[in-house]
Amino acid sequence: MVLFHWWDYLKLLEKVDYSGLFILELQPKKYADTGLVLELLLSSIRILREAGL
Amino acid sequence: MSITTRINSKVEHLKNNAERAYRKVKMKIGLSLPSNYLSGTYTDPVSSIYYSALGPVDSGLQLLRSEIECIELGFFMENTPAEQIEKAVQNVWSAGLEVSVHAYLPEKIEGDDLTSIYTWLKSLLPILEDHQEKLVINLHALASVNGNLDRLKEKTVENLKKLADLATAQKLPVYFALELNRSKGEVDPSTTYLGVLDMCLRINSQQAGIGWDWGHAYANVLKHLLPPEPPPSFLRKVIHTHIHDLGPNGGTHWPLTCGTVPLVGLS
Repeated sequence: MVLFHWWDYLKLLEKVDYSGLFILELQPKKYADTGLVLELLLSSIRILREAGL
Repeated sequence: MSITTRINSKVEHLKNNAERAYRKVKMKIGLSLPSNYLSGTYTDPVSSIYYSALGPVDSGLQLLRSEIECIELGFFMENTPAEQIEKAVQNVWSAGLEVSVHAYLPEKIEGDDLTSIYTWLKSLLPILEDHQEKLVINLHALASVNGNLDRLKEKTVENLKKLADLATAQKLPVYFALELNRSKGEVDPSTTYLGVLDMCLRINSQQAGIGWDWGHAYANVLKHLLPPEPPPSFLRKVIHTHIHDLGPNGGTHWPLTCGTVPLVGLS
């Protein structure tokens, strides 16, 4: 079940233009043993871009 | 399908495209990185991981510059040397990126100068406008294991109001975001939409708003502590956002590839 849609919320956040509004806050210690820290970081950014940011 | 329906559908499609294009120009994505890494020190475990992934700070920031627009100095406490913060911010600016800061809300606030409370602001504020219009400082509410909820709330409002009022009185382009926190067993007045909203409304400053942490909020939703959708009055006060996913066992701050926090509906 989809509980909420981020894009729907983005549409509500009108007139907000403070720098750094959307901060990706990761803790790579939790998944460093995957050896994919950079890949997962870039994938996360890509997901946000594809989401419309 | 009637011609009217088709026209309406086309108009809606164009409106969505226009809105998305507008957002692409308007919105900025940032990444939180530890001030140690950003100041060129890679000895602590997290900075060491980032060093392995991104290389030294100069090349790491250049790599990120093609992907994002802002770096947030990861959460630091009162005992972090001001020189470290200053050097970290300078490195971010040198890479052509903007900066936001995840700092602490002091338990005691004395004096009438914001730069005597956050001493690292002293050298940065005079050159801030060379790099960005304003500085967002994200803060947690005061919380403790055995505290009194009402007292913590009162003190958070009092102290954050002092900071915001000082910024206004000193005409400084500094904005404070009060973060919606994950409920983790502490006495914390900032784990609900209405708790954070109430504090912000009582602070009643144009220079203080809500830091909406989507990962924290969704963790609280899954624990049935929050409804999935925040009230419009909460959204109207949002000035800053932290984004992360939930990993195994509901752990926060995982990459968005986990797919736990729903992104459906975005495309």
